[in-house]
Amino acid sequence: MTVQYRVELGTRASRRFAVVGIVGALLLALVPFLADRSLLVSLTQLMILIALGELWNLLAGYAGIYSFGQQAYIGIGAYATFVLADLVGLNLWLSLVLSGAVAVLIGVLTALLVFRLHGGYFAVATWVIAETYRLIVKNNATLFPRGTPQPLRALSVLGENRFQMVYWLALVAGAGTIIGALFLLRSRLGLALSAIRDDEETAAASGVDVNRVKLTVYLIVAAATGLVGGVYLLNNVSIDPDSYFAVGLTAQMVIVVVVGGLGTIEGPILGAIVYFLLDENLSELGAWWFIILGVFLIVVMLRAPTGLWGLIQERTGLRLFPVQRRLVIEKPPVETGVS
Amino acid sequence: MPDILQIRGLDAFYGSFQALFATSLTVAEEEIVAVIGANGAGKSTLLRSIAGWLGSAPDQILFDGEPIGGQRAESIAMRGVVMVPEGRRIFPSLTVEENLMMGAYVRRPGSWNLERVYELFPVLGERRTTLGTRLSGGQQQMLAIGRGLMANPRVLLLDEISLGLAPIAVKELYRVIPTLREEGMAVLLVEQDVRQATATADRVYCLLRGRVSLEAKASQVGHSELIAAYFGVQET
Amino acid sequence: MTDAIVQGILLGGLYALFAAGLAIVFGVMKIVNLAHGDFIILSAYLTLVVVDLTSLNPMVTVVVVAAVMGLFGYALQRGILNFTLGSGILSPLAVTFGISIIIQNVLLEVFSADTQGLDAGALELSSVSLPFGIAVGWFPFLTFLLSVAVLGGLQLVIGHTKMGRSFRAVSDDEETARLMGVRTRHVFGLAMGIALLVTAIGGVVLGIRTQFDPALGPARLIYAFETVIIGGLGSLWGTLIGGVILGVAQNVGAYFSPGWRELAGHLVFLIVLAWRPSGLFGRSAE
Repeated sequence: MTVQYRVELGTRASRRFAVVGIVGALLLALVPFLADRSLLVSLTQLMILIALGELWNLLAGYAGIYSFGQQAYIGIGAYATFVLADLVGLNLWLSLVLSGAVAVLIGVLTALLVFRLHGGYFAVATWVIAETYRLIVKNNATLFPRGTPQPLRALSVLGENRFQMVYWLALVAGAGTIIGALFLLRSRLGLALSAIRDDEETAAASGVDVNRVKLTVYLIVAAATGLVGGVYLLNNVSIDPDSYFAVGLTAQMVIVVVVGGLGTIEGPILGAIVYFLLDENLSELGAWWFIILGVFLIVVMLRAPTGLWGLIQERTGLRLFPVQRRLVIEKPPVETGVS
Repeated sequence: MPDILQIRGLDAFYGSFQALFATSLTVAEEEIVAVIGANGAGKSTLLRSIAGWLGSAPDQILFDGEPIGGQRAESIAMRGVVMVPEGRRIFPSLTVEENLMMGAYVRRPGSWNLERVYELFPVLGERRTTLGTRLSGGQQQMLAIGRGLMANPRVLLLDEISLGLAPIAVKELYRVIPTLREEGMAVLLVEQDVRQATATADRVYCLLRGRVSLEAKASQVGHSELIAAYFGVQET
Repeated sequence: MTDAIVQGILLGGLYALFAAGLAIVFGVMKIVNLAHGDFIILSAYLTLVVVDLTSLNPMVTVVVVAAVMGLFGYALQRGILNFTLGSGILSPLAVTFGISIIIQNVLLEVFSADTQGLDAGALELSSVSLPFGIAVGWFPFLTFLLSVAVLGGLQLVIGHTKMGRSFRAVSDDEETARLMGVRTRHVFGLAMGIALLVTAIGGVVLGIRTQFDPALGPARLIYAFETVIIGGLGSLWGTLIGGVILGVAQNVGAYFSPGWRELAGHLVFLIVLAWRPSGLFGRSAE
């Protein structure tokens, strides 16, 4: 007598949520026709924050890669867009797409160096490399003439529609990283990742090429972070190395992910929303706002390492983006006497 | 002699895997007790639990009548329950003498010191300034035992000290165990080499799949009885 | 150019001081303290306060500042950082990152973003003549000697005291050290205490050499890190040479263009990383 079973990914809540999510995304897409400009700008920032959080979470939460140099790819994506659109004169959208490719190239170069180190040393090494890119740009008279921020002139083609277009782009980035992460985690690569997360040595022993899997994720995230960097530039209009290669950008990603919930797709969304609301209300406190953030980060890490989403999940069992496969047994096995 | 160490209904786990099931065992003062059993029977788990590397409930392990189960390894060592771990675990960046001095870290009172360890194992004295891991396997095991003695233990736990060593080296190591009893020490040793264990110990326990399958005086244990306890063969 | 190199060598002593604390913490606790650079800057500000209160020369108050930072390090490790251990590497990274953010912004709130300096009096002005017609300032020269002395002292402590032995034993094999009765949580506290004590000396020297402001910490962390990787783990003299190489690279870079100071340092670091990831003199950094 055989056991009849099927493998399920979804839960009832997640299937309902998928419907809610699609409706929600459509509603969000309509926002430019309903909301005023300041709300639009705020939502654009939130979407970018969600995208960056999801991307850092893919590294730290799923691949065990702790990079404190992800600002490198924001800077590179933004500068690639700027150079291709304004200095080379390519179409703005083409430039934006190509910035992802540039980020991958730089990512390969970076990985060759930093993948020699592990753990905490890897984290600082990625930061040093981001600093190196910042200084190279800063010392380049074409990229940073007379040490002043450069406006993205190509933006003028968008005219009055600029805010709407950038908002939609950010929405695509935010929704895209969520959906992308979901598909990535459900793929073969995702299976390898969860094996690595459970036990790196055992995963290697069962034929998972750990380094290659990690490198693949690193480069995918580099490309996507580069694209988000381009969108970030479109939103901010002007560019300079100090603010686009700032470690503070990675700090935001770390806070969003740790506070929201490491290793879950829901976590960074929640973390980004919390961060965004706090920032809107507390940023006028200046230095105190950052002190509060630092304390918040430490307290969550020590007291609730699964983040706010972890706390919610613990209490409700809610799972909106299922990536784990569950075995559903439809016909229980019949006792055969062999045990 | 009163019991210095009592294990009462000890359960031990590695994650969700249970390695020991309600194991009970006693060691009296100045007694040498051997625990034998096949690979994976739970012998090392037993010692790791006593030494505090694995958690347990307080009452499951009593030392001198006091519950010590679940205490931190360093507290247990300070009380005088000292383990010589499996695989010797010599500190690679420390010299032979420094390794021994680590054994005396908590400065328990007693007669063991560098001179006496060098007297017991002269080769360690000759090579005191070399890195501990440069010694041969047998010498490293001497160092590990010497390091344990430096703590002036009341109970010495020896985990598989013959593992991977040549017979002559094993003989050399086992030569010293009876002298430890004369010092007033109790010894609980885990051993795969059944003959060596029964020849050295006063009493023998056999573990089978995490449970005690035999307890006997070493001088009285019969061969077939031992085989049955070791392999779990039952008359059918 | 010769001058740039000599100055770079002397600067290297300071970088070795920065690096020693980072290396001890990594060696014993296996964590990278992302707030390390901010502790350097914090020490400089602390000196500012103590000098203000006592009107003593900063090189005298260094004793007080180092002691305070040492105690602070012990308390920080026992009170917070020990709880980040044993559950993966994100926890110590995120928590020390949080501490870094807090220190920078507390300094900003208390002292403002204005640059500050420490005045060591006549020591800073006079210079000493070395062979081959090279003249260097007394202060850089003295700080180099001080760095060598501190590193030598540290080497003695680690190599020949019970505490140092316990550092090495815990670094080798924490589990087995506990079998010897080593209270690892206490040893971690001591290691952080010693690390911040040495770091504080570096912070005071930095404060006398250059102007400082609350935002300088992360760059000092990076210099310390580069020094450790260039020199390789496991040898404090390797660290000194790592610091010298970094200092010379930075000064030679700055000799060609002021903007290339840091960049030259990073490039040398990256070359070493590509060529010998375990450092020039060390055991494996992996």
